[in-house]
Amino acid sequence: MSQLVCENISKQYKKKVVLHDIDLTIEQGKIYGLVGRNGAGKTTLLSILTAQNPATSGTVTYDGMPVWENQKALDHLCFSRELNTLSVLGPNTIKVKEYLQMARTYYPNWDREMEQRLVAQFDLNPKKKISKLSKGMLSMVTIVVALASKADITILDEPVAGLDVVARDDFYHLLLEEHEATGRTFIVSTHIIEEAANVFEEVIFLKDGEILLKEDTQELLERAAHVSGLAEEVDAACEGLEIHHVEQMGRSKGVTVLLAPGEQIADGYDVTVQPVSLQNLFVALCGREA
Amino acid sequence: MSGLTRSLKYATFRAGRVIGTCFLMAAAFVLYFALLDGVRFTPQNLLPRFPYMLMLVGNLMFMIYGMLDVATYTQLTLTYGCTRKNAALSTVYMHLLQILAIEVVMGICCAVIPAQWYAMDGKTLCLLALIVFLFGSGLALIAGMLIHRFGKTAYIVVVIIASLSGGVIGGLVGFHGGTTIVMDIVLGLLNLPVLIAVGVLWYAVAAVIFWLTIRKIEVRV
Repeated sequence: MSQLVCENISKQYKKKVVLHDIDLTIEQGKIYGLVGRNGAGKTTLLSILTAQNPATSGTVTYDGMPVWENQKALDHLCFSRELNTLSVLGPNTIKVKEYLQMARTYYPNWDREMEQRLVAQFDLNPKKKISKLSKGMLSMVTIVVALASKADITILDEPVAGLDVVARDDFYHLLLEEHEATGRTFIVSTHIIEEAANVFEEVIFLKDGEILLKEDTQELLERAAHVSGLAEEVDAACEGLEIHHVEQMGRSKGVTVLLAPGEQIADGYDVTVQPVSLQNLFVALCGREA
Repeated sequence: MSGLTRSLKYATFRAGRVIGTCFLMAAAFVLYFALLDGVRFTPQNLLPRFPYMLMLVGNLMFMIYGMLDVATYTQLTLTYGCTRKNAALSTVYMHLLQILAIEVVMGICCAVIPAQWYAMDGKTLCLLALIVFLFGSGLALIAGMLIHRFGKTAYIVVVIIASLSGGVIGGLVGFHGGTTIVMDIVLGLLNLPVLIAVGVLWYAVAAVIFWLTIRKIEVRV
């Protein structure tokens, strides 16, 4: 089974350490959600995974082969980056058709038919310059590249940024269809967590350049709960548990707990236990008070 | 298809586009100057201008594209999974292909068009063009890397230097009333074989600097 493995990855820009000793294994055939706050190091990590940026230390391998400067490994990877229209120079100065033409030439398994279908579906104008596209259209271009690349491990950086709700829904359907049909691995970095929660098989939380957790989404949500009630009741019910994001209002208290295997919230206390959404769990774990 | 083959394939396409643009622009300038000459559309007035224009436009295009390529072409190829080595090789290949194509067409022009129609010997013109192209392409590589490294500031500095040198050369040409004056000055200082050797060396040094920079370059799109 193909795996993308990174070991002890660190990245430092001058004195600023962006990634700290990251160990991560991406397995074939899964859809991963990479979630983190702005500046957490998501794009840097994804760039290093695909050899677009060098790591300060550590190694990345695909099927045991180093990814850096290794065409054989790189041919299995696609990182469709978020495009920036603000830079004076760069890819935003070219037309959509040239952007796609380049991708067509460089990706060995490019699906031309899929490219044409998606361009038509998204109503993209190939003659338009990248810099003239709206935020949503830019996202669509990156989605076309990601899906039509047919790379075994495909990474999308903020693919739904700027997309309206219908387009986002279309994207998730396309992603699931493609995943079901081909068994490709997808890593999707996003800030719009809630609606993607059902799509992600596994979720990776990145906080301050470190992997906070990497877990099966369903299992993670099953072991997370929001406990509320009178402060003393909540404290007693949650004693010894991993508590996050404490909210207190007068005598009332609410906490998010993450249960370890075999743990449970103590019975016999007057507390309300509710399931936690992925977004709320992310806020609880990565928010300012976490 | 190997990674290098794919890189060369795209580089060939891109070089073809630059070369095509050069031909079209050179032809347009030939017609423009014939119009300025009092609408003299005779073969004697039109044809000898074409290789000169190819040299001027070619160098301009090679410099513009070469300079912007580091920020666009190289960056994009890396995002598409090209290795840095293949990106560097295809860039050098693209430059050499462009130079070769223009040189071949200039050579054909000089061989076909009667020698007495030229102000300068055809062979000298082709060799001078080669030197100009090598210098221009090398300069573009280095300017491109500076722009990538220092962003807008470097871009503005490069544009100012290019404008000033263009102005000085243009002024010199205008003052002396002929396009061959700059070539005469250069040829007066050094002979052709030395200039060619310096041109080749200059481009080789630029290509090595390009490789040393690109091998650890970060993708920023």
